[in-house]
Amino acid sequence: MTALVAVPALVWVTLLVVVGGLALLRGEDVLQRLIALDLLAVLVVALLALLSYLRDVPHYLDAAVALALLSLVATVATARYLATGGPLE
Amino acid sequence: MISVVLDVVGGLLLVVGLGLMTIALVGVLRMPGTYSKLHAQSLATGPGVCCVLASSVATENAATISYAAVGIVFTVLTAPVASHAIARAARRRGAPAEPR
Amino acid sequence: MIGILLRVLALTGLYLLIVSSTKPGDIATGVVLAALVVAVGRRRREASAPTSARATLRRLAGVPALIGGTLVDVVTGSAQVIRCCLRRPPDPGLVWLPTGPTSPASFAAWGIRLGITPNTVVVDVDEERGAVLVHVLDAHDPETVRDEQMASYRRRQQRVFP
Repeated sequence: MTALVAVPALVWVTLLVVVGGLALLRGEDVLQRLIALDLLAVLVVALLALLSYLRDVPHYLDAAVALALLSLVATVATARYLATGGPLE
Repeated sequence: MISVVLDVVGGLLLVVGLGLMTIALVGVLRMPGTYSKLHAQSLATGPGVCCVLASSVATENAATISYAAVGIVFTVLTAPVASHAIARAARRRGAPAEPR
Repeated sequence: MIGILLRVLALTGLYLLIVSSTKPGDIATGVVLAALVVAVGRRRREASAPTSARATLRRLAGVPALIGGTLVDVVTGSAQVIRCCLRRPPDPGLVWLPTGPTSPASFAAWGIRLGITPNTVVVDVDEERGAVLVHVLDAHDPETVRDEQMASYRRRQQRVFP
């Protein structure tokens, strides 16, 4: 993939990450913030993938897959914690 | 010839994926209610990131494409789990909604 | 027998994708690891009724329809959600989808199919009653939603995961 395509895409995704931070701050309750956080993780995965295309280093995609799996674990753990109403119940 | 075709396909997939992510972000900012935001978010976590990963065909690098394929498989299997966990937590916490 | 071979083949394929090479040594390592995982998985699971090779082949014949149909569902669902994102969502609400008593594998496959399509979000699963609670953006007519999803289930999934 040429830099002509990858660099504007990287800039655009970086802008999206900034706007995603805004969505994280604007969430009304903790679950909406969790949704925004999951979306931010996906945006960072896309950022890593684009960086890997630009520099032609396949191993950045390893980091992307690991980040996706880690964000799944974090989201599920937080959601389960919130569903039961805290550690004391 | 085949390289040009792959470039065009990859570029189109990239544009579609980034468009889906942008629309998902707009939806998360605008939609009212947790469940509706979840619909917008699953637009990015499912099809959006799959399109961006699938645009790796344009790199014509076997290692990159195979890692991206692994990423697509894991995304398809794990994205529904995360959104289901959030939706279940929203119902347990008493989101105002009655099944019809 | 075909089922075991397929599982070993799929796991070997995943291993080769992760190491991204097709050297004979890597293939051999992958086959050994996949056979180990499948053997341990069979040992841990209780004995299920043996299925005939023809039934397995008939289920396999439905896989392309399952994947292709799910892709079509994803595209149409994405279009609907995009329309709702740019305007107001018409009438979001929860709908019960009755599935009847089915196997856990069928529930898992249906859950993934419903979850990966953006216009439906799985909220709860009632395994005893055999029903899935989904959230849709346009629920002013729950019967239509139910009919659509059941038609999609019958057309795409029933052959592979009954």
